[in-house]
This record gives sequence, structure tokens and C-alpha cells, in this order.
Amino acid sequence: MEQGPRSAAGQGVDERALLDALDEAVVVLGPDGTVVRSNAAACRLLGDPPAGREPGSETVSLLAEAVRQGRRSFDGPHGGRWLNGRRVPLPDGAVAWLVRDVTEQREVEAALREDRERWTRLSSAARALSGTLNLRRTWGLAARLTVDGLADHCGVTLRTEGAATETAVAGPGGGVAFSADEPLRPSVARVLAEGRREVHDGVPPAQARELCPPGIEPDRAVTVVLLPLMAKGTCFGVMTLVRARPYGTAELSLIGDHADRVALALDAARLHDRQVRMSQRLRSALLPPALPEEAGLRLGAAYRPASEDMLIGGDFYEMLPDPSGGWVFALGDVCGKGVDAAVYTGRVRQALRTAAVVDSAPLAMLELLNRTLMSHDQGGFVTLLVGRPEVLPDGAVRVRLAGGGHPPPLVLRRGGDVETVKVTGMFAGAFDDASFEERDVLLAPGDMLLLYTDGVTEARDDSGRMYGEQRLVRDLGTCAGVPPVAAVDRLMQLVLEYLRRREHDDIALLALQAWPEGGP
Amino acid sequence: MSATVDEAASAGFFAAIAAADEPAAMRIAGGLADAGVPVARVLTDLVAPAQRRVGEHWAEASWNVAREHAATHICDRVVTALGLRATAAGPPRGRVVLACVDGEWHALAARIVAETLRAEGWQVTFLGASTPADHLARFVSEKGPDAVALSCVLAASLPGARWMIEAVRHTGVPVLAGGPGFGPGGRWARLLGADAWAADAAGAAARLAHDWPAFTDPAPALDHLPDQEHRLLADRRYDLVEQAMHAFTAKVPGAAGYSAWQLEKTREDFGYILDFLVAALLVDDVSLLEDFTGWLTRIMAPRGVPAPVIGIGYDILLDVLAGRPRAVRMLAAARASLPQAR
Repeated sequence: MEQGPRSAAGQGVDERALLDALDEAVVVLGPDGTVVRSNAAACRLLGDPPAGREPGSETVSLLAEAVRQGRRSFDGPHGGRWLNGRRVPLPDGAVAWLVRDVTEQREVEAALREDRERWTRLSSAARALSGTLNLRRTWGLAARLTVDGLADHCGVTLRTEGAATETAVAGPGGGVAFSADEPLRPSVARVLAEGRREVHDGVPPAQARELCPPGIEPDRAVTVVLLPLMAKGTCFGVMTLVRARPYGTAELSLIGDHADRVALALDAARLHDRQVRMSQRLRSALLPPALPEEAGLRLGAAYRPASEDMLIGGDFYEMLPDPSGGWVFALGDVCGKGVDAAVYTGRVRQALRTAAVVDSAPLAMLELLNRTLMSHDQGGFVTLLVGRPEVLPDGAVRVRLAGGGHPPPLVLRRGGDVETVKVTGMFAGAFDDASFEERDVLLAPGDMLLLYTDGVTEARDDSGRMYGEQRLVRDLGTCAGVPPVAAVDRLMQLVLEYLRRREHDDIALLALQAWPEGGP
Repeated sequence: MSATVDEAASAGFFAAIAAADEPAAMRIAGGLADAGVPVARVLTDLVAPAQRRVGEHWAEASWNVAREHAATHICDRVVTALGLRATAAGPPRGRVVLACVDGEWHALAARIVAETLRAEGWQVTFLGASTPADHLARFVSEKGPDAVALSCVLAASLPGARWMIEAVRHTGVPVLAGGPGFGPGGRWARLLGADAWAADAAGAAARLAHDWPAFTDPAPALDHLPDQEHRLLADRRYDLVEQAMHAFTAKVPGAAGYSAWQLEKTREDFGYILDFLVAALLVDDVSLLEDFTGWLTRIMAPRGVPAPVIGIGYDILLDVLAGRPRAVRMLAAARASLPQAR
């Protein structure tokens, strides 16, 4: 006998009234599967399950299906609502189905999920935008990433040099097209001038085309949002979003955040773009020159600065046209590394150009160079070799070489022997009375002259052992018959493999081969 | 056009580069282009196969270094000349930066890819052989390309490839990997974080033309690795090679009579084996080291080094690496794959 307070409290309560008071729908099925009773909520949610029959087409199909399949729960849509039901066994083989309307809960969940997805997408977009400092890529990405989740079409209009503007437009396909805006749309001009957001809902196609930058041409009524892109208090661009569906308040604030991030990224990229263009212009004057094509000669050069991110350094080679015909070449190494060395290198190369115009004899050029460098003493100095090749009628090449304290060049004979060319002399730029040496080298057809900087011979391995001249002589010996371009590439490869990514000094190589037409 | 690269042209071209006859090679390649063969076809059907044959001659040691370099150089010149005559078909596309991974010196295949993509309308910047990772990253952030294509011919450079993929994906630019170094079917490309892989120049062009993503997330961490053994070995490479050399001179009777040059070569060989072992540990795939071992056996035989001698080298490294279980397991498996292994 059960004598607990629970059964006592249950006495005398009208069970039907109790069931009807529940928000949850209750349908009780007897052991034979027919409906025994249901409450008011069941009537509302499920239609009126008829007592005495199995749940069928009159009731919610979700419930009927679950009963037929002997499942313990169901979850699904019905008549615009979302229902969740579970089966509870009762004594004597009866069961109760408890069904709840979870529509609101599901909506909140879906909204949260959508929100989270949007934020994930936006933070990934922000990361993508900050990953590059290139203006064009950042600009195009801004339009493309906005279309990916926030709009059907997006235009990003920026002021470029002068008063001109240009727009990147992305559509549903994902491609981005840039176009110059001529003339600027009044709406875009207004936002640029005033820096205030504009939202236009339900705009018919013709009017939308007037609002949007060229390239966005909606064919039905849309919402158009124009957002200012601001940096340091001024508006430098406008982002135009177009969508068939209007934006809710929360979405508009999200779009505002997105526009702020886009503006930050674009402003940084604009600044970087200006600096890059300026430094590229400065750097281009310091980069190694292209090698000339010269009958009777084959040339090759390779260069690897110590500072890979500057691409410039203290080693250099130069090919200068001689006003009286032919060419003068030089290879050198200024003291120091990095930007200061690169600037001094630029001065040395400029002085060499001037010297070649005055007197193209190598020794005279070195003396002129020394005087020029001494005339505005910057505390630097340079070791170098200057040479003037002369192609002889028999296909040989005579090279007049002048040296200023530089590692001696090597000659690779056609048969594979390697000789060191002794050219001593003092370095340039340090002493008024510096003296230099000159000598001639004769290259028979197929012979190759190699000039190098000490970045080659002083490359060190893990134990600190230097690559050294002996190894260079041996490795050069394996290059007999190899064109100069391929030979310097191979030597550079051997040195860099020896270094195995360790830090190194600037490395420069220049090779000349006597190569009459038709070969040796 | 019905014009194709026929056998006569292929034979003539190879003869020309074998004889270091640049004008003849140019005439044949240019003649095909004049006859209407698309430049991309001349590159893939004439130049690339010829270059593969150069590699075979090198492997068989039937050509010396000079001859191989001269032939490669001529192929390179031909690729450049053909590239200049290629006119872009179709609409202009985006910008691609192409580089050989750090430590990879085989640049010709990448050059062919560069010219093929250029002919397809891409703006291509080729950074050349063995591009340092930081150089590439800086260049990419400055140029803002739509894609970075990375070429890797020898799997030993895969650790370098991983650094570069990480560096590039950090800037949001998607990476296309290519070349046999990324393994059969490019299976190590995905593993190391590349966004896609292509087998050859045509494959690269096709992959970039369809559904190429605008940006990518940072490369995922290497979750497949049970340990950092590859890094430990790479960091200690110099010491390990020295230990191996020490053991070699003590163990191999003839070593005392080796010339400085021969000792240097032996030191290099130990280094190569370690490099491939490091790569195999990185991708956690013993087949990488087994394939290398087979290749090493093939190229060493004509150079007078039979498989049992390579086996001795592997035994020495197994001793040196004792205490590094995964490295030892891989090396032992590769050792067992040697022909005539004891």
C-alpha cells in the first residue's frame, strides 16, 4: 500500500483540468495504441486526436509516424511551428506523448548560429585583409569578402592620386572588377564629402543604378547601403552594399563594424603602397644592371645580398658602355652591409659611370674614382676590379684589368685548368695617395674570367670552416665548357648549399667568356 | 592546328642540347612555334621531356657536370625565348608569384610553368631557384598576388616547403604546390598545408582557372606528427654528419686512403641521407626514404658505389641515431629495401 504524501495530495484533483492546465501537449495512448485521452494543448498543437483510434492522418504526421515506427521521440516542423515530442511509458502498457512547441527556442538558436557564422566569417575576413599590405589585393578582397555573407553586390570606392576615384566591384560570382568612376555618382560623392552612412530600402532598379557605382546594376527592388570608410577623421572611400533583402538593426551595426575594419586595413595598405613605390624607385637605382649582349663575349652574373628583405647590399657589379665603343665592367665590395653600404655602393657606381666618360682605361678610372670618393669623405671605402675587354680578330679576348685591393680573379681555361690572376693595389676611398695596379689577361676562345667578392670565399659552414679560394678553384674547374650564366648559377648554388641557410655576407659573381660566333 | 611535336623534332632537339648547340635548339623550338604548335605544347612536349633525359644522363653518370649544365642552360634560354613569343589567350587573369622552395635548385620545370601560365594570361613573377622563405613572404605581402605557386623537385626540400607554405598562408594568399617532391599524387602537399597541388604546368593552369579561392586561412598545425624528431635531426645535422664520418673512417678499411675530395663527397652523401630522413620524418612516411634509397642506389652504381657500400653507410647512421626511435625505424626499413641487403 502506497501511503506517501504524493498520492495523498493527488486525491480528489480533476486530472483533466490538471492536464489542460499544462503548456505541453499530452496524448495518452492505451496498450492497443489507440488514443485514450489528450489535453487542450494537444488540441491546439496537434489538431484534435480522436479518442478510441490510433493516431492517423487527422493528427500531426510527426506523431503518427513516430508511433508507427516505435520511436521514442520526434522533432520537426509542422504548420509553421517546430514541435518536439517524447514518449513516456505509463503503467499497464499505456504511453503518454508529451509534445512541446519549440519554435521560439529554435529561432533564437538559429539566429545565434547565424550570428556566430557571420562573426566567424567577418573575423576571418579581417584576418585576410590584414594579411597583405598590397593595396590592390586588400581593396579587391574587401569587396569580395563583403559579398561573401553580407551583400549580393559590393563596391569599394577609393580616392586615388589627385581627385580621381576608382571602384572595386564584386558580385555573386566572386570575381572582382576595377573601374574608374567617371563621373562620380552623387550618392557616393555625398558620402565621401559628409562621411555619413546612408540606407535606402526598397529602391526600384532604375533608382538603384543611380545610387550605386558603375558595375552594380540590380534588376529588381533592393536595399542600398552606403558606408563611409574613415581614417584619422577623414573619409577616404565609400563601401556600397546592395541586397534584395533589407538589413535589420543588428545587421546594420555589424556592417558598420565590418566597414571600420575594412577602412583600417585599406588605410594601412594605402600608406604602405606609397612607401613601397617610393622605396622601389630608390632601390631600382641600386639593383644590378642587365648584362649587355656583345658579339664575341658571353657574360654571366649572380648576386645575393646578405639582407634578403632589402635585395640591395654592399657588393655590386656594373657594365658601362664606353663612349668610344665597347664596354667597361666592374665588380666590387664596399665595407659594411645593409642600407648604409647600399647607399655608398650607389655613390661608387655613379662615380664609375662618370669616370668611364672621362677616361675608360681601367687604371685611370680607379684613380678618378678614388679622387671622387675622397672629395666628399663619408668614411667608407671599396675594394674593386675594373676591366675593359677587347675582342681580337682571332676570337680571343684581351681584358685590361685594374685592381684595388680585391680578391684576385680566376681564369678557367677551356680544358679545365684554373689560374689565379694576381692584381694587387689598394682599396679606393680611404687614401689620397692610393695606388692601383693594372695588367692584361688573354682569354683564348672558350676561356672564362671569373670575378667574385669575398662573400664567396669567406662563407662559413657550421664549424666555422671557410669555403675558401681552394674550393672555389676546384668547383670552378668543373665548369669547363659551361656558359657563364650557368657557371655563376652553379657556383652560387654550391656556396649557398655550403652555407645551409646560415647568415652570410653579400655575394656577387661576374663571369666573361671569350666566345666567337660559332663557338671555340 | 594539326602541327605537333613529332619524334624527329624531339630527337633533333635533344641532339642539339647534348652538343650545346644553342642556335640549333632555338631553331627547332622556334620552328615548331612558327608551324602553329602552341607555345605551351612546345614547352611540355619538347623541352620538358628533353630536360628529363638530361636528368637521366646525369643519373647514369654518362654526362659530366659541365655537359649537364650546358644542356640545362640551353633549355632555359629556349624557355625564355618561347615565353617572349607567347601571346596571352583569353581575358587577363590575376597575378601569380612562382618560386622554387628553399633548398630546391632545379628551376627549369618552374620556368616552364611560369611561361605556360603567362601564355594563359596570368601576370607571373618567377623568383628563381631556392627562394628563401622570408624573401618570398615579404615579396608576397608587397605584391599581393592571387596565388603563390611552389615548385619542389626533390623531397629533401619539404621542410623548406613547409616554412614557405606557413609564411605565405599567413599573408592570406592561397598556395598551389607542384612537382614530384610533393610525393606521388602530391600527397605531401596537402599534408604540409598547401591549398592545392598540380602535377604539371597544364595542371597548374587548370587548377588556377577554376574555383581558385580569394584567400586562405593560416596553415593548420602539423597534427600528424607524433614528435619533433625531424627538427632535432635537422638542428644537429652537422654533428651527426661528423659522427658518421668518424665512424666511417674507423669502420671502413679503405677510408684511410681516401683523398680529401673523396672524404668531402662521403660527407655530402651522409648529409643527403639525413636530409631525406628529416623529410620522411616530417611527413611521417617511410616510403619517402625508401624511394630515395632506390634512387640513391641507381645513381651510385654507375659512380662505382654498390648497394652493400650504401648499406654500410646506413648502418653507421643507424648507430649514430640510436636513441631516436622513429628515425631508427625509418632508416632500418629503408636499409632493408636496399637490393642485396644482408
